[in-house]
Amino acid sequence: MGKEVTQPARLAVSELTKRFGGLRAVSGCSFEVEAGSVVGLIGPNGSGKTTVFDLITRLLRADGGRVLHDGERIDDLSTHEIARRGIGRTFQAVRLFRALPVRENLAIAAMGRGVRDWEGRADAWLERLGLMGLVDASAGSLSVGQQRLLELAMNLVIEPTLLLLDEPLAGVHPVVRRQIAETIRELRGRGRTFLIIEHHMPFVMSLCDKIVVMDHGEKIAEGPPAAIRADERVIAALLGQGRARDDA
Amino acid sequence: MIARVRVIAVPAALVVAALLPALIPHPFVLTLATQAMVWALLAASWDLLSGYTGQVSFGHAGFFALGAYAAATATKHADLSPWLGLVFAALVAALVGGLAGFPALRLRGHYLALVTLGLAEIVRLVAQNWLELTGGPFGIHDYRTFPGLPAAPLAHRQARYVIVVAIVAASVVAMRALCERTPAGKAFRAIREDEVLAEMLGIRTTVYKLLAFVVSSAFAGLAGALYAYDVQLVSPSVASAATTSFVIGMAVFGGLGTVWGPVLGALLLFGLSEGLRFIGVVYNLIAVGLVIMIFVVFVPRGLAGGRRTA
Amino acid sequence: MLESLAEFAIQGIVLGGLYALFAVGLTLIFGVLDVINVAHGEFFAIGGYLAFAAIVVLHWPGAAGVAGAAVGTFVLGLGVYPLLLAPLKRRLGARPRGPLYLVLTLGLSTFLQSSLLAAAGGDYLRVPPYAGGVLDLSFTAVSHQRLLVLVVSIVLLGGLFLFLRFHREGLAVRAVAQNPDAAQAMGINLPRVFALTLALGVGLAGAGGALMAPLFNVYPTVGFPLTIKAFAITILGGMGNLAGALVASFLISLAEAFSVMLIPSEWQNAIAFAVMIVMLLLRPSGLLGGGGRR
Ligand SMILES: Nc1ncnc2c1ncn2[C@@H]1O[C@H](COP(=O)(O)OP(=O)(O)O)[C@@H](O)[C@H]1O
Ligand SMILES: [Mg+2]
Repeated sequence: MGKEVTQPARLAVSELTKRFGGLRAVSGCSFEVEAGSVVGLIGPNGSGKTTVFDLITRLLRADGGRVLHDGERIDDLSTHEIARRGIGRTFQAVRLFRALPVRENLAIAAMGRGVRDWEGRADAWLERLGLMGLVDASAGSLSVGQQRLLELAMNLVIEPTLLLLDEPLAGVHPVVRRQIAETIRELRGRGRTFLIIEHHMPFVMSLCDKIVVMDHGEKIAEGPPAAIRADERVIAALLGQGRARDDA
Repeated sequence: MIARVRVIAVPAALVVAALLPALIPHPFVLTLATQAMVWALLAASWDLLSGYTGQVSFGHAGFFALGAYAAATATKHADLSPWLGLVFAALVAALVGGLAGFPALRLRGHYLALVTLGLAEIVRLVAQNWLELTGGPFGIHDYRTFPGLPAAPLAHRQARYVIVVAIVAASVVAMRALCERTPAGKAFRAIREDEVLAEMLGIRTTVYKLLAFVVSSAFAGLAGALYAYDVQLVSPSVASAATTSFVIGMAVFGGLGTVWGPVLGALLLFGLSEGLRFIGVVYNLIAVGLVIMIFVVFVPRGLAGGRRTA
Repeated sequence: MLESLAEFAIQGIVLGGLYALFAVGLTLIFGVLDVINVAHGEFFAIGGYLAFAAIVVLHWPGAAGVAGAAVGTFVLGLGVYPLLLAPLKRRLGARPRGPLYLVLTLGLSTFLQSSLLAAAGGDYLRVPPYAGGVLDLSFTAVSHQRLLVLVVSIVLLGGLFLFLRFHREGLAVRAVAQNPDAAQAMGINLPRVFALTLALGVGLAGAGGALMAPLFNVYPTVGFPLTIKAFAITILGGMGNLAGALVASFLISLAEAFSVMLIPSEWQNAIAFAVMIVMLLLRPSGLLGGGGRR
């Protein structure tokens, strides 16, 4: 499903900083997402992960630092320009055009990126994700898991080169979790690049090539899953919040 | 069910509208019917911007009045042909609408409504105070209407009605097509539902919002020009908030975000309001207020029931 | 020259008291309910009509008439939230509200305005001044009626601020303005606070309408221009910001009063709108910044 991406995207953020009043939500954060890799971004609640996404996609303006995509600065582009570079994003609280039918959601996603001939691809994804019977239902009427799948599908019809997923498994049934994990695995095999925020550790550990850990807006560790699992600071940060879930 | 009603009702309504001059050859009825059509265009134009794109305008009376004054003054003082006057009025309103759209690019919801309300109020004040051009509080009159119409009163009315209906129908069809058949329509809906998500999907929301403003105000201005050439008198009260309220009432009555719903709502509410005048001149606006409140709270989809809500 | 300056200043200040009474109520409602009450001016008009009914028809003394009018509008205002806004809120649930509340209160405005017209006719009703005579300040003179408006406005606003600061219910109102969810979690009865706030806000407008009745006369649309002006004031002061609305009321009224020296008086009313549009373009959060939610 979907064509091979020959020139995978590479993302680099450097010294990214964002303050909300007195609060440093992100401070001096630097890391890279290598071409074709899956990178996990983890950390306790409130550690600044979503804010990093907002800064990359320019929903928020950084107070300092840079964002590079394929070696070019994108932090001075506007959100729609960033999207049109092939960067897709999902949201921690699912964002859909809730009052509109499923197919209309996909159509708008394709229209936004100026993608044509998306219908065949959309049908394939809908079939695969089990949404085919729901194309005429309004997006808001779907279950949480289906909504997450639709949000993912909206990003897939446009064949993004880089996908930012914000807690794609939150509130989702284990069956759907597996579906999402498999989809990501398959796409990774086709050279797409992922940056994923997720609390579900088995998922993160098994899927990611590299993990970046944040705490209080700072990067406190970065490395392959095995190293992260053993890192004392990481364990302290995550356990401190009681967030190192190993369930399901 | 609703879809089926629509399939029958819309063509039926069109046929009735087209044949009305022959069915009821009565000047008074035709006068009212012509005005109802003008309101229908205004309500549809409001819906394109506010119902469809979600950018609430409380200033459509202002765009309407701009169009009406532009047409009337250009014909009176510069002897512009009323046909060109229609175009001129639409352009003037579009220009101001575009300018009003700029703040709208940065403002949401409440703020936009307030700015546009202020804008309409400024139009009203200018109309009231710029005596040389607008005739002040008494308004502007003594300018010509569409040329080449028959002289006999009934035939004249019939011809005027046909002109207005044709222009209104073409405009409504054009707006509906823009909303339903073009990428712009998708962008409008996306902006209404979730502006941030639309932007995140690569849609240039600022451009499309501006487009909605320009198109909507152009058609509102066109409606104003039709009003001016039909009624032959334009006074500052046209720009009053009551006009905006009436139009919003029509749109809510008919069903937001459908374009044709507000057309239907306009015809019915205008009819209702004129009918109530026979009972007492004050009751028509009471009814408008009631219709707005009841429909917003209890019948949010309006009579058209068109737009899906979650 | 100096004398006329002083006169303009006094005019501006008296008018500012009225604007403040009106705009503070409007912005209080916005801050707590997140609803812009387009019908605010109609409650001003209702206050005027109630004062007329009490004083001219029933021959109550002036003070009782004004108090009765304020209480009457307050009581009417108590019904607005449960009868009109709450049903819409229930129906909407978590869905986006879009323009609906604005449209709803616009409908209320049209309904009330035309109902007043139907009930009382369109004539300008006259209410005799509550206080005769003028205060001679040697350089200029102020009618006692105007002074009365100013003093009562200040007293009412002072009362409102004290209520919000010290009274239990006032604290609840402020808590809801800060964070409705947290307030509810603390056991505050949201519908009650919403209804009370709305009634308080429109009660102030009603008091204003009653106070101004001898100066403005009373007619159905008397309040609507004030509503539009109050929008400008609340934007200038920052939406939901009470202190901002207070300051902005006097800024606008003084600007209007002094503008007569520069521009023809019929354009006076455009000042507020011009200020509003400029503010929205340059500094949408208001002069004092922050304040309400956007
Ligand atoms: N728009 C905002 N205004 C103020 N503070 C915010 C805003 N967005 C996030 N924050 C704060 O910034 C911090 C980081 O938030 P976030 O990036 O959402 O964390 P995470 O996604 O890691 O849970 C939190 O303390 C949060 O409360
Ligand atoms: Mg988060």
